[in-house]
Amino acid sequence: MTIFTRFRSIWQTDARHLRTSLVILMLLGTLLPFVLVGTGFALLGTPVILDEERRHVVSEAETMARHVELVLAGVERRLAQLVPGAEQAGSQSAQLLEAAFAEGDFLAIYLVDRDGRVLQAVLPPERAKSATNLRGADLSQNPLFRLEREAQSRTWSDRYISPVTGHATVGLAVPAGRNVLVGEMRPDFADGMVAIAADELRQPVFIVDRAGETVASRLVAESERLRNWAGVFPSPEAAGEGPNLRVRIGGIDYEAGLARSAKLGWTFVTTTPAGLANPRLRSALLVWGAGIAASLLLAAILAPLWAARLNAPVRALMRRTRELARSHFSGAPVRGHIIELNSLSGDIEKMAAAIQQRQRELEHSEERLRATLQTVEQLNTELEGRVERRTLDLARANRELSEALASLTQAQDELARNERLAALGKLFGNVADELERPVGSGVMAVSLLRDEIRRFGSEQAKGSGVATLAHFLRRLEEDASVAESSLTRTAEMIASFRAVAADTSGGQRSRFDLSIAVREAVVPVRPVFERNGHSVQVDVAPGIMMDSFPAALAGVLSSLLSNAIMHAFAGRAGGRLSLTAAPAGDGQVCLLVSDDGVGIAPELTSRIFDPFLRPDGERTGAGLSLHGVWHAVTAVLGGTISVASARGRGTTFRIMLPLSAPQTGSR
Amino acid sequence: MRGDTGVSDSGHAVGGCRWISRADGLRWLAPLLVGAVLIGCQVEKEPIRIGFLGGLSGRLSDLGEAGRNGVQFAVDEANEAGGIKGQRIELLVRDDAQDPQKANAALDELIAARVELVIGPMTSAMAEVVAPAAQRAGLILISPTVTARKFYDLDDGFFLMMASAYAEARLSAEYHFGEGRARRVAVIHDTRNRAYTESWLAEFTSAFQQLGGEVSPHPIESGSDVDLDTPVRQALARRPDVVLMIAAAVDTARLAQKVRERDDKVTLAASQWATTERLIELGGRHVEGLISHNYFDRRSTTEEMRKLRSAYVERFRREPGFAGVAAYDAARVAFAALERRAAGQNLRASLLANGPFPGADGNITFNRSGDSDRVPRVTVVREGQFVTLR
Repeated sequence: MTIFTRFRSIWQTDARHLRTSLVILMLLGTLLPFVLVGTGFALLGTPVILDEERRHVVSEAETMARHVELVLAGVERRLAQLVPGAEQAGSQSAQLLEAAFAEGDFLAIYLVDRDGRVLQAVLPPERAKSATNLRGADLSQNPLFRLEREAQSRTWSDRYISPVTGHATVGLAVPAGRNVLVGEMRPDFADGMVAIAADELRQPVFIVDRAGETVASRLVAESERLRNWAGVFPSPEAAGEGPNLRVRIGGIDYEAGLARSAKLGWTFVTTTPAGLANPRLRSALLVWGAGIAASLLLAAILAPLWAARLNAPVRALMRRTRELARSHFSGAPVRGHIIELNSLSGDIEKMAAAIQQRQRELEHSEERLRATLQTVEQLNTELEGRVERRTLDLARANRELSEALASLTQAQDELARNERLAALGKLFGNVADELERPVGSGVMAVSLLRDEIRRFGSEQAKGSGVATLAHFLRRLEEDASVAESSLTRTAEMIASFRAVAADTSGGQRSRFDLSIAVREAVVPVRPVFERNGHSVQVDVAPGIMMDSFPAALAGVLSSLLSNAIMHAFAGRAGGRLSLTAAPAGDGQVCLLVSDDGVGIAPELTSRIFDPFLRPDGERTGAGLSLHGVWHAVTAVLGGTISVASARGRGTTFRIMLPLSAPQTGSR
Repeated sequence: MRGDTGVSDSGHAVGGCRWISRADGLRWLAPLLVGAVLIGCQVEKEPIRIGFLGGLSGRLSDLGEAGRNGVQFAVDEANEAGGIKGQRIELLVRDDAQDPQKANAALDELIAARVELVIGPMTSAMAEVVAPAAQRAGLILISPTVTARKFYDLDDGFFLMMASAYAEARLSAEYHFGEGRARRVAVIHDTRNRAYTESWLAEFTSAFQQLGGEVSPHPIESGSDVDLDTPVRQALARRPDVVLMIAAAVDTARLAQKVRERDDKVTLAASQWATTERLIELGGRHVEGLISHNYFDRRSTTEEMRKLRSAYVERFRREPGFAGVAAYDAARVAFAALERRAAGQNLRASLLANGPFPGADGNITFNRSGDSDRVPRVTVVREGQFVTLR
């Protein structure tokens, strides 16, 4: 298998060695003609050989038939010699029979009358009793006797059972006047006859009678001789049958040649193995196979040698070419026995010379190139120096620029710090302004108190009366109340600052009804409104449930109401304020706080929620309330607040709140 | 293919041809190989082998020849009809030559060739030899002609196509005593096929004596050169009404001739063994009027029988006779049993269970012991022909 695999790999490869190609070429060149011619022979010659063989067996069968007929004619003549004496049964005829019998071949000779009765019988001495038994026997139903009677001529029997011995044999009946002379052949007679007639044949031979029984055979196994061939070999009368047929004997297929003897009524069969088993075909195929094998062997031996011989100058040429490729021009040119290769070698040498010439020219131009290259290199160096200088300049400029940028950034930072300080200063200023008045009032009150106490002391020393004491106490109370008022004011402011500085306290989160929360927020301020002649109207539908910070909301509303009293209705009576709320969808509620007061100056509207805003230069109040409102709405309640106002036409604060305050406010 | 009748002694089969594809590089060899394969290869299914064992040489070859022809006829007929379940039948013919040694060797050959069953043997003497050997090898034998009583009522693989000699001998005794009005019967019997002849003689003697007749036995030993005058003379000396011969056709013909030479009045009778077609060929007018018995009705007008007889005569140039018909029937029974055999069922069980089987002269069944009980019929030779009387 490996040789086939190797062959396939060589066959399928793209490039192969010259030697391999040559070997393949020679092998194919040797084998192909043989294979083609052999196949042609196998395909065309086989039928011819088999046909010849078929004709040959027929002629063999015919030869055998003629031979047997000749032998049997001799036997007939010997029996016919007895006819004259046999026409009359008697002692004379008995003697004649004895004489004929003595010549051999016959097992029995007997004379039968026209009715089939045995008149005389001659048998070997050891069958004397059988002879006695036979005499008088009626053979009128005997097939041989009946055949003879029908033909009225010399007749040979089919294989039949001898009336004498009971054995199967063949017999001859010869007419002898009114009687019939019957000769019964020895059982081995027929086989002996075939052995002689078919002496040269090496394949099964048969003589088959009309009933398909084997009369005689040669080279046939006993079991085959026992067969009845009636169904195989057509009977002599069967028309339209060719002389050839294929027959299976002992498990082997044979081509059989048939010849029929009209005289004997027997069929002569000679055979030759059919198909590839045929010796002639087999030897022809063997010669062809041997031819292929021999040529393959020869090619296998010669092809590599021849290929090596052809390959040697090619390899030398390859070596020489490789040397030239490495510019080794000194070697000797290759010379061999193949003209084409010598010519190729010459061409290669010429090419090498041309290459040498080119190489010299190349070297020359290379020198020039080198000189040019040196100049270029110098220029290059100068250019590099210039580039380097420029690069240094650029770096310096860059550095300066960076420094300028750094100082600029610093200045910017300082500016920002200054701004912050300024804002802080302003803030502190504002805070100081806020605290200055109440604290100053307080200090003055306390200072007055101390003066009063001192004056009272001196008065007391002078012994002043009760009037003095009462006056003192009245003054003491006034001053103390002023101080208390101032301190209380201060404390409120500080609390308010803390509220700005820290987150506004929203108190506890809870669930509540908005209408209730709004009403509760209005309750504490309502007396103030009423005292000043204003009115508050609440219009909030009950049932708006909120989850939020009620304290923060109360603070917001309280601041807005206070803001309205202080600013919107300042200096007038009969102001109206309304509080309305309604769901705004999307989990929101809209709360409007509207008044019909003086309104807000347009320049203040945008800053109304800034801390420390003081409208109209007003100096009372902490100035934190609206900023606190904004902070509480946005940071605690999670809503938005906006203001709409026009001078003289009142102000409306619009607060949008979520029904559920955010869990994580900006607290 | 005309030449292949399915008869062959080959023990090896022509199997299916296989060829194995080689390397792709050898594609160009393919046409060659295909050519060789087409020439040399003949794909054939393994045939079913059937053996035949009978005497085909020697003095008793008439019985064997008729049996062989009957079986071969049945084989060719079945093969033409497509074989058994599509398998061809191959017939292997062996000769026992009435010789125990040859019979055993022939049986061994058939066993070695792995035949499904054997049709045969044709005589009781040979049955005595081969039946035990076949039983040991588990080989089924179906004998067309054996009737010796000792082979009946045995639970074995030996199937018998005819009723025992007892039935025939009893019929014979009743016929001769009754219609023949015979009171004295001389029996000449061949001691060569003792198993058969003595069984027959015993059955006949017992039956005839029971009826009130007298039987005198006269043994002969058949052979190529035997003195027949003496036993015939002795038999006739007792002035019998009937001379009954229990011998083969060739001997019966000669004995009949010897009897007729001395006495042309006495009634001749013979057992079925003698009643092959050779009896008339060899005996001629001397066997005219001979009373015998056949297990088939020669008057039968069944289509099967008519076809069998005409085709048989055309092919073998001889009437099938009782042995030819019985052998033909035996082969057809065997084929039917093989055909009807269920998966896992052995042939013996199939033969016992799958009947009735078709026969040329009516259906055939076996009893539990594998024996047939067909009724024998009385025949007489009249104008060179066997004629069934009743």
